[in-house]
Amino acid sequence: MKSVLFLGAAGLIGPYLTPGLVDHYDLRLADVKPHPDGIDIDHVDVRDYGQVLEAARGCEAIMNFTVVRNDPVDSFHVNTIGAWNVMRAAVELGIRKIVHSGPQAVRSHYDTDFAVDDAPPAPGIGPYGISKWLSAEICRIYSQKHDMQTIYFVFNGLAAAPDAPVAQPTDTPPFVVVWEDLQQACRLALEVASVPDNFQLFNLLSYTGPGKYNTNKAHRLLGFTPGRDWDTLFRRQDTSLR
Amino acid sequence: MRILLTEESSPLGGELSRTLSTTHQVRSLAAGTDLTDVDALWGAMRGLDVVLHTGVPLLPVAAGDGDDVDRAILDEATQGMHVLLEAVTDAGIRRFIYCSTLELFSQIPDDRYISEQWRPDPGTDMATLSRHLAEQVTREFARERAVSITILRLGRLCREEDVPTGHKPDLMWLDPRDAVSAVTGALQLDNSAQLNWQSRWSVFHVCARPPHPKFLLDGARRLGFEPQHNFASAWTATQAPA
Repeated sequence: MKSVLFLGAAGLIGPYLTPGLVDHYDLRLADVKPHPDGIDIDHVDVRDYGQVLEAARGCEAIMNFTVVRNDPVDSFHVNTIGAWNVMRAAVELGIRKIVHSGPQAVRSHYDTDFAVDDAPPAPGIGPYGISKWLSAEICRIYSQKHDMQTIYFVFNGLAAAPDAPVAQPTDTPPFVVVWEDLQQACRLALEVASVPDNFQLFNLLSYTGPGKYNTNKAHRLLGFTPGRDWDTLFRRQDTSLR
Repeated sequence: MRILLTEESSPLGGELSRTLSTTHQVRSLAAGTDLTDVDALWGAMRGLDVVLHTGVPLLPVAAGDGDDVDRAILDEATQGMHVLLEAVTDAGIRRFIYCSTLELFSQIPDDRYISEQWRPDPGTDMATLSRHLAEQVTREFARERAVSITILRLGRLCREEDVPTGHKPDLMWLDPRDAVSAVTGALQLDNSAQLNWQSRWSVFHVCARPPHPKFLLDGARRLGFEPQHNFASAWTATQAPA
């Protein structure tokens, strides 16, 4: 069973991602705060290289889902310097697989476009978006220089899958990935042997109906397909009323 | 013009300060200024037309081990550049010049002709990686704010008459006097009113013109740049029959 360090395991994403990974990987859960479900995890501050290095020792992959959103200081320290620490630790320990999270914001300038998939990042100047974009550049450069594989997912929201069709007029959730789909994507990322240029940034979303963003590249390179056609749950139920 | 230099203690900063002071009002940030200190920078932005970042780190990096130094350089190039450009643009300053480096292409073989169209290949050495990441921050500010940002990727500074006889010439050499000439040209460039952000963010390669150059200088003609110190003696010596 592949051993994986999961940084950010107690954050807004980690507790929903872990259930889909725990049966497949030997997870080393780590964060700076206690796990909301009381699960015992390692205290690791991604800003501290020594802590990251020790936590990653013996692992075959690192998942970095740490994040600080719009804080003018810690966005850079956690998102940018944290990514640098992760990549340096991976180099030092010979770890060749990194799965990294980032925000849709790295493509925020395309919000008024359609069919956006593999567009060049354009994060703007908000501390969250730009610090994460810098992390993606650090991941890319380290991966290419040190023959590592980094799969970098960007998404906006994470939510439970709807269990029934919407009853009221409801817009399709924009750039949101449901838990099961994110779990699937991370398993695919941990298993894929390589990606072109050692680094690829992927859109990750479960609802592609509006046609604004798509996951074609994630499908093509990772084999990602949403667990079901979630868009069908956002349809008018009574089409007799026109 | 009223120009603020980020420092004047480096060879480049000193040359710029001495030369530009003859025709402009030049001052520099106080020694020891922390570029991540919002209040300090805000206070320094009064009554300026241009801010000129020499690219030289300001933090007292002498203390600490290599990791600490690299971390400080990274933090200054990312968060520090963000804080600096927030202060610049909030103060209504319309021109910003950043002295980056041609080292961004030092890992590309010397048999290529390199122009500004080429993607930087900074590698993971922090002295160069930090410059690349700082450039990314400047680009996003030009995208979102009405500021004219000029990136001058300078070669390796070397005064022509200081080259010892028999010294192997360098494709990246740049005489400091020519560096000042490029900066002088950049001072005249004000695209801040351009609606297209790409017009507000300009990149120029600046070095000497050897007989068979690696770096093409056609772009820098827009600045009126033509190097006067081309190390002809050093290059001639390499071509002399044995």
